[in-house]
Amino acid sequence: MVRLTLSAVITPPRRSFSEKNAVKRGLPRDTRSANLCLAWLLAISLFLIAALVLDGIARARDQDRAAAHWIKTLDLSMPAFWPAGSPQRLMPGAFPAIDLRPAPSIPARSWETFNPSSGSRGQGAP
Amino acid sequence: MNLLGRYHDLAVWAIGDLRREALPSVTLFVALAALTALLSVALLLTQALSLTADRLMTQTPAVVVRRVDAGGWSPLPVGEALAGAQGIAGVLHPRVRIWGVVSSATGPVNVVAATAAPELPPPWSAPLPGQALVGSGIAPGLSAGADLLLTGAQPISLKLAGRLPENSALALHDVALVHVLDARALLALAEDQASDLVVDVFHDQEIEAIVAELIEAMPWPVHITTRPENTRRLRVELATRGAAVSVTLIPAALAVMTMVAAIGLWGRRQRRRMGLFKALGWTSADILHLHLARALLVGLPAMLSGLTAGYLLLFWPGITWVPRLLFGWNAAAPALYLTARSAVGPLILAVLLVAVPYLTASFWAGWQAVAADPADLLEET
Repeated sequence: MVRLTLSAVITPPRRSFSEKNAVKRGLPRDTRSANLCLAWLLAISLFLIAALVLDGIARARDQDRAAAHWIKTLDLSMPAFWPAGSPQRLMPGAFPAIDLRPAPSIPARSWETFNPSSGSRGQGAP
Repeated sequence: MNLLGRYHDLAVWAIGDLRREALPSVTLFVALAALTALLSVALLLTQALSLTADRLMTQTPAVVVRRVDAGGWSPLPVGEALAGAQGIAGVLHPRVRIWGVVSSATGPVNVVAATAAPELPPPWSAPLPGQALVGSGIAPGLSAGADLLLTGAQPISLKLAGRLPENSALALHDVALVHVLDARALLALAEDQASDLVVDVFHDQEIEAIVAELIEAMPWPVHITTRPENTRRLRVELATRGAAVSVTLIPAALAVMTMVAAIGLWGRRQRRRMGLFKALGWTSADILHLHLARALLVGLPAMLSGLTAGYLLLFWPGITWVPRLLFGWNAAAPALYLTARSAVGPLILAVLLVAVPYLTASFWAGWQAVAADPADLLEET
């Protein structure tokens, strides 16, 4: 108990590395705070680089894996970038004369948005 | 060690300079961060979308065969279709799909019959008749056990058995997984009919040859789409949409030019001070290093902050601003989980596009003072 009390009295207040360095070199207080500022800027930069690299490797690299698994499981033909029923999603490469409604009760789509450059293949198209 | 100490002293001096001009330094920091974030998003967006799409498309069936007649799509007789496909060398796992688009209160829904699929990953199990597992975009207000009305060939009310995972929204966002009986009723398909036939192949190079044989093997007119066709078309669509975001590169270029001009003007204002330093014994190298240290102390954290912001804007799990902005989603947009593979190149390019003009301008501002005579600099007002 006595040793603890004595050490508390004798031990000087804790200083950061840059502050200790500044004190050793006899720098004024302004310079010490600039040192601290420099240390913070470097630390933040290193932290951001490390965070980006680690996140890119550990998490974000394969975060589309679950969707890929479901596409394979359900035999889907297209990812859901566009809403269901839109020309981009429903049946790529279709000839515009072919009505691709899988259910007859669904209203026909407007073919104005059809992209004719995608071409078609098959036989019996009207 | 002495060299390191000298650079350290210059950096400390530069920080003192920056603190004396706090407002311009903070403004420069914000401008650099915003510019880097804008450029990194513009450069990364198309690449991230295309790469994710490519990776997802590799999981889709290689060939889709749909029966057509004079009226368009028509139901596919299952037995004949499978018999025709199984006789073709190179065709792997021919199977039929029962799926289609029906309407719901919140918009169109992709109905997929669950029995056509292999076992679902745990904890999901195939829905029973009268049940539906739905993606996060279908009737988002409904909870498990609620009634979901789907309208196809006939309106059918299904019990919501659960939600499909949101981290797979790029596959499942507007998918309703239902029992095959419900799917047939919704899509007006008889017991021996399906929506289409899909097959896999061992190598993608075999697809072209197999397509011709499939057309020959089917006893009715068919329309065939292949995975390479779909992938190419998707890439074109995504690149077209991504190009809209690339338009932001024009104001970004203007911002870079403005920043260079501002740094040049600032350098001119510092000439008298630099002349004083030279008169006090600073070398030309000291003055150049001071300018570069000051530029790096603001620029490095600012550009890294901008990079982080751009990275998070695209790769934060479940972003929805991209589908809202680019793909025409109005209500509940799918949560995107894009892959960050090959993001390094665009990120480095974004930093270079900002850092090279910025550091060049800072160097030039220092060089203006170095090249001049100290007496001339001190005489300037």
